[in-house]
Amino acid sequence: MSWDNGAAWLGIGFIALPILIHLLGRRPARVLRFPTLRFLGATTVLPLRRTRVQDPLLLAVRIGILGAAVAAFAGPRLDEGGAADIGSTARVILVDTSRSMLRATPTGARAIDVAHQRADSFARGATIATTLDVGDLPRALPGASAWLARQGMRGEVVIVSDFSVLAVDSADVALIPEQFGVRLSRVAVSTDSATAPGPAAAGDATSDAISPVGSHAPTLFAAAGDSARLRATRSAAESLVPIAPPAISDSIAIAFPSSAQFEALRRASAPPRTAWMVDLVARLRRDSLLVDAAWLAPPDSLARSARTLAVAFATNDHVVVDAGVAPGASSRLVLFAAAPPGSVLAAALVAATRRATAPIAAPWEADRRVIDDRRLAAWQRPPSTERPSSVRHGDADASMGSSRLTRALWGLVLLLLGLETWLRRDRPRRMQTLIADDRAA
Amino acid sequence: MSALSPEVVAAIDDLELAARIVVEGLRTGGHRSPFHGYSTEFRQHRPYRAGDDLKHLDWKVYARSDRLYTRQFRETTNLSVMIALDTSASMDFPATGTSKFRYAQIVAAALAYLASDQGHAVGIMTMEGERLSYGAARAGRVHLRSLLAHLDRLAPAGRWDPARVVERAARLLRRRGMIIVISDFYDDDDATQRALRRVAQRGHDVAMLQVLSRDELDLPFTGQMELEDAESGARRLADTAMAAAYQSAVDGFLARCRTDARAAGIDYNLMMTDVAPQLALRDFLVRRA
Repeated sequence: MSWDNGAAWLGIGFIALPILIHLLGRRPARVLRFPTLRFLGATTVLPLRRTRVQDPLLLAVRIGILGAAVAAFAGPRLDEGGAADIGSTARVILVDTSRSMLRATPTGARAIDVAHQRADSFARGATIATTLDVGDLPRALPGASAWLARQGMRGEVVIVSDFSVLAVDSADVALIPEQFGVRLSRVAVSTDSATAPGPAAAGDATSDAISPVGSHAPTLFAAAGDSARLRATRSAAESLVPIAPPAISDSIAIAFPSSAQFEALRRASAPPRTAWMVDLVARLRRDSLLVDAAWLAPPDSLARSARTLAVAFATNDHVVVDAGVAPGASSRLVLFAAAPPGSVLAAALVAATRRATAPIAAPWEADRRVIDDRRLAAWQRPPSTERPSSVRHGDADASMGSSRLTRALWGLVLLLLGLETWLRRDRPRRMQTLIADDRAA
Repeated sequence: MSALSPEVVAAIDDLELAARIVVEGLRTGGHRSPFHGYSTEFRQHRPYRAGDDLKHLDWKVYARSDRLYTRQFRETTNLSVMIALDTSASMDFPATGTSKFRYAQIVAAALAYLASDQGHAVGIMTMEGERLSYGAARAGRVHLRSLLAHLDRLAPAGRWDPARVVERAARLLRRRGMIIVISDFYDDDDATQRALRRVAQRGHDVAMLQVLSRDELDLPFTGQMELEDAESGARRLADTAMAAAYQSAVDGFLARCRTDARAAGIDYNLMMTDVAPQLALRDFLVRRA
């Protein structure tokens, strides 16, 4: 148990007051005029007025009142979780998962992977640790502080990031309560490196990407012999991925007419309804390169349908591709190309698809500068050796627990006050009468 | 018979009125007079009054006249009753409510009233300080009034010497009479009993009316209390733990009083101040009857 206001315990000295009052207030034994003492006989009763306090129960209740009141003023707090000794440390590790962390480190590994490995190392070194992947570091700091405050031990905030400029600054770090330490662990990235290829989860909400689909190449349904033609196709910015076997897990697929599965897929597919599919199709419609390629494509045999991605021109309606949802996989979008693989239209379609699914970096991600080490060092501090005494980031749970205990103590004070009042009034009526008689006499 | 509570009776300032109320309560019960005559010398007839001994009814007169008359004998008309009242400080307990002394006053007054009303001579014997104070036994209403007034002026204080009072009271009775001692009998048991026995052996009718308060039968407090003897002023520290031994001692004392009195042929009656005087006297009369 800890105390918010340990100095209040100095008030425990007030407990001496009722003891003194009871000691000093002792009166000689009351005198009662009695008809005869002949029946008392020899007595061994000693005058206890010098050795015993009056009303020990009342005295105990009064001491209890003062003790409970002092304890309530001291603000008790039950320690939650973990050892409360000075060597225990709680860590909250914030891993930056912003777009810049997708860049490669000098070793070739992605910065985010290195950051996760480092976070694991930090977690192992703490008594209690939690790791959070955050794309917006300043927004995560209050929650991290609140979590540390609940642990009842030394606390440290660890940020693992490349520390791009504007990702976090000194004002954000200053919001972390002073009793908690701050450790900033930089993951070095190559400033010129592009985003390293690697799996990125579809629908990654923690990244700043606008597109709901991570950057990856669509699966191409084409005949085996078309691969060479696909490679040879001119492409403005993208390199075509060789034809890969269709995988169920892929989100986007392009089916070319030469593919053996073309008709079967087309017959079994349903119109796209998912938001990201509709969004992707809309981008494809706006893709200028695809539109230009479509202009060049001859009209083909694909019938119009509600699913058709139609490039509408004033005079020429060309069915370019048809979009549908593959059977059995509601998240898989199939673009049915009207042109054979190797054609300019096919290359433009693939490139447009890749561009539409590539995440768009936040504006600040464009700035590849990083915070210098000197500034990072100035922001760091070790954790305080004192236990956190108060919650500063609105930790309602911790304050609620301590206030419950304090309320319980005040309730005990009230209960004892009632008992004290009752004890003072509880006297045998006869004795009151006799005492009154004695005083009158 | 409904009786006024002792507090109500004790609250009546006029002792004569209080005595009359008590006596009227006794008469309502039809109790016989506690005062017995000894002589067989016929003196006169008088109309029967409630309480007269039925054995003195003249049945022949009744048969002739259909009226009840009591034969009065010389000694019957001249029964002298001396009431010895304890006026020591021990009778002034408790300080609130009906004290033993006030109760004893009322009982004494009631007995005097009853005796006088039946034509007996009644006197009073007390001690005031070290000095004996008495009113000689006389009959008549005027004497009764002065007797009651004297009773009313008495106040408990100091000590009393029951043996001396009883002896003196007996000497004041020229012939055999009745001596009623009203006290708590806390003083010198042996001497008191000897004196009472001697008086009884001389042919006097002796009655002991022991008046006690319920509060003195046990230790009426909790914790520690310093008890001060009302007569001697001595103090002794008492504790609740002593209550059992105290009660045992009191019970033993009362038992001895009763036993010794009966052994000596003395009428003994214990009167508690929380019992209505009429009821207490009724018990006394029933026993004597």
